Amino acid sequence: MTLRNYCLLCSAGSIVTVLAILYVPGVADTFESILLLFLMTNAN
Amino acid sequence: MKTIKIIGQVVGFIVVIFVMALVTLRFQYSKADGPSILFPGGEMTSGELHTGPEPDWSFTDEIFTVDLQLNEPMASRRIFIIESEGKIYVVSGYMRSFLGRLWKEWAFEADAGNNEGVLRINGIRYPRRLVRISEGDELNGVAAKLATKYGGAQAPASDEAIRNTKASFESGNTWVFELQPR
Repeated sequence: MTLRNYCLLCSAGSIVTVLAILYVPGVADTFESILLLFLMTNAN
Repeated sequence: MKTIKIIGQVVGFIVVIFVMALVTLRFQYSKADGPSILFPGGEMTSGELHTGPEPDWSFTDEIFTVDLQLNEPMASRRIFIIESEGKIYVVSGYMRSFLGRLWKEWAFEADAGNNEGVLRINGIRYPRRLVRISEGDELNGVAAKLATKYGGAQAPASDEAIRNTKASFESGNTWVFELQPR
């Protein structure tokens, strides 16, 4: 993959992520739950 | 070599998505009516505003966390609550560490005088003023309750548990604020 295509992929992924968190119900809660589970599992 | 490059690209992509998600959630919650477990929230607008005499705060013994808002700067966070001798307190740990200075900005603001805020418990909002208590016998009860409610110590708290917890208060590593009515 060329650098240009890779940057485009990261940009597209970022935009989709931001829009999903802001506008799709449940995505923000799901992400936070996963993050919380990760922190609880690795806190020690 | 090609495999390493692909792995690097995948890891980089995951990191970018993760960071964007964190930044978005931080922004989203900063405008929300109250905090989440991980992210500070905005101004708490929902819930009945309490007026009249102080309640019997002993009911907070059954409540693990509450939402506390400071008005300047306007932000809210989820925090432990401690009742002792009819008064309520919140604590802020790690205050002498670099992490604490970054993470506990609200405590420094409250100590500096920007100490007016709102406490929300069970959907009721209580206007409060945060007053730091750094010494005195008043801290014995707070230390005992903190040790048993959140520290895993057996109730009633032993003298050693109280002494150790109070030492953390007096050394400035953990700050205690009384939530006075306003």
